[in-house]
Amino acid sequence: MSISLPRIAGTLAAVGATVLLAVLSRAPLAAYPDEAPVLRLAWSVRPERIEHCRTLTDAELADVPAHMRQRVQCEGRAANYRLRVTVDGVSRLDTLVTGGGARNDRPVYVFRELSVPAGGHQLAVRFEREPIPGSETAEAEANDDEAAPHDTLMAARAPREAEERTRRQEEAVPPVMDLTTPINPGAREVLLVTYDVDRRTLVLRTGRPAP
Amino acid sequence: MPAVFHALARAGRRLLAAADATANRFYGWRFNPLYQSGTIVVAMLLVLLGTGLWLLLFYRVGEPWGSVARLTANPWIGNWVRGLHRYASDAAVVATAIHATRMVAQHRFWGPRALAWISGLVLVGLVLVLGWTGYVMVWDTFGERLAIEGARFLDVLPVLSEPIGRAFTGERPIPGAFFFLNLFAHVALPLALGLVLWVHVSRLARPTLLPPRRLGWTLVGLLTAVAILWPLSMAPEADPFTRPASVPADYFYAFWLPFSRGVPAGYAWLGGGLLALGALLVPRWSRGERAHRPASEVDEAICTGCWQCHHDCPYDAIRMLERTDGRADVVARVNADLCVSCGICAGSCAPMGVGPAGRTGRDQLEEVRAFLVSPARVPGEIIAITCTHGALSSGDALRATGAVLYPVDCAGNLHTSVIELALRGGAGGVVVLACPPRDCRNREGPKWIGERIYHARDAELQARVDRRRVAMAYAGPGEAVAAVRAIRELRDAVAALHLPDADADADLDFVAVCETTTAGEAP
Repeated sequence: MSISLPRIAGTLAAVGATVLLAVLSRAPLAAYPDEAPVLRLAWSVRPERIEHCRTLTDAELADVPAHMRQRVQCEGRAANYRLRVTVDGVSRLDTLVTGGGARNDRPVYVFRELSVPAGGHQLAVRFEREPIPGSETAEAEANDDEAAPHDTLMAARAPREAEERTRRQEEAVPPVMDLTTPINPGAREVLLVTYDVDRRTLVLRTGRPAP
Repeated sequence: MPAVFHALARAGRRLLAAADATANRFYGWRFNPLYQSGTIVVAMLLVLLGTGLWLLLFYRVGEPWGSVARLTANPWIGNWVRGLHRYASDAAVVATAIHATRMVAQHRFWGPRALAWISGLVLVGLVLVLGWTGYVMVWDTFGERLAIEGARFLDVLPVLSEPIGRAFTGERPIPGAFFFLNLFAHVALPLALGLVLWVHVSRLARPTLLPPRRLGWTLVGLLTAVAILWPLSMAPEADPFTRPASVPADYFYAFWLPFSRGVPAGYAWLGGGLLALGALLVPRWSRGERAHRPASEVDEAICTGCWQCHHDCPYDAIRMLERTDGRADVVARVNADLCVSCGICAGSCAPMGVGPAGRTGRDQLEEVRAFLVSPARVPGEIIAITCTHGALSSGDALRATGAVLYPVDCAGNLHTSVIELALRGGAGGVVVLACPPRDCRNREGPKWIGERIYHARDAELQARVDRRRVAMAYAGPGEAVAAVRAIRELRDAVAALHLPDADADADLDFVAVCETTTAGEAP
């Protein structure tokens, strides 16, 4: 059986194409060309509600369907926050952060990545509620809770309402969080600043094993 | 935009012609992988299905990287299967790209074929998303890169209350639900793929779904060989606290990654959306095509209800219906919404009662009669009937043989009476130069003309025609060698017959005879 030149060329072409396919299937892709370490700020917290609360009168309550009656009625909005980051005293970030959703009442989500030089530095992160002139904070509403219930149903409901407001208040992020810490990142390392739900504060995490 | 598109299509045609001709020399037209691009995609999907089911047995949602690493470390039942799975998916992308290029270059997307074009684009999207989920499943540095980039795009859409990207920041371990959802998508999407594939070929009669067995197994063998001889290795596990300089990437699925990086997600959506919209609108740019290529029509007075056009139509565009004119039997009816004006029905109709306006059997006979009475004709010359999309591109080389060219829109469109009339009109021989079967723009033209000449398929070349003076060969664009060889062989064969100088006994009233006979046969 004679082997023709086109057949040899065809075999070589097929093998070559297959090898090329395998090469392109595992070729290196530059993922992060920059060697500098990264400071990643990432957390999600429930914003405080800035509310004005008042106690409804019996007459006002009577106008509301029974299943919707709440003695204390609050109106307000979610707080905005200012995020400031300094490295060695130099400001790297100063930005306003608002809650998600159309009414900004969904959790506040922070995700920023800042390049920092490798080596030792002093990091300071501050996450602080923006003041809103003329508004009362959620803390104020509890004072209004003293309004006495006037019937049995409301008497049973009032503590639950107060409890709910307290729970929401506790779930919300503290008005001010500060993190000041020395850092010493290596090349290509990522340092993560995030929110610790249990300690209710900002913490620094690295991929290094705990000492 | 259409001008740019047509320029691209022309460039694609030139590129394909050269590549096809080379591949035909290497492998012959039967096993030319470029002609089989669509069927190779299906074959690769079957390989993916088989290997994927096997890999699924070893994958653990709670330990994505670890379970794949264990599998990869096993050279007997793991590594090469994973390699074959990967390379088959890559081959599917390559074959898809070739298939799409062929369809664009050959203008096979307008009118009724728009459904196949649009469903094809959906298939491309599904294949890319499948690849994305497949690589994310492994959760190595490449999978992480894809996941982060994908999350970046999804997070700009105002549909999710919490950004997906949060899962990859390192705040907490990646939730198992993420890998479960990813696995679910990777398993469920092939079902959608199958459904869309069915839509893709739904307007084709007798769709060919698999390549020739020899080609298919050769491809699988090559991919398996490279998977065994060059085993896959594991990239490092994804780690949110390190930023690798580079990751081992599959460029067939991550070709967009180098371009998208650094582009704001909104702009990436805009660019991708415009690209997809442009691709979807491709058939719309060619709406004028219908004006030049009208749908076939049936002359019901001539139609004998033989069903042949119905059997031969490559697009299922012809139905046989009860007659309403009182005659027994059925009559052919063309669905203009499905007809791509290939004209194959014209070649299939013995009484010449169907075909696109201007290209019916009767029109063809008129044309060839005018051609034969031209003073330029020389008795005894070889007439090469060439497909305009194929061998005609090598016109100069063919003419250099001394043959005279008679271009037709598609060899399958050709009524065999044209061949007979040409011989009666003084031609020494007739060679039909059709495109290679898998390269026919009308799918089945070469197949049917071959059957009509050599296997008595209706409308067959009559037995009275001397077969020694008729030849048929396949030659695509740029394949002058095969076409020239066919002409020379026929010329030598005809010369050996020692025909009288002029065979033009030549009853060019043949058409009239034919018409009379046909009319007489009709009840």
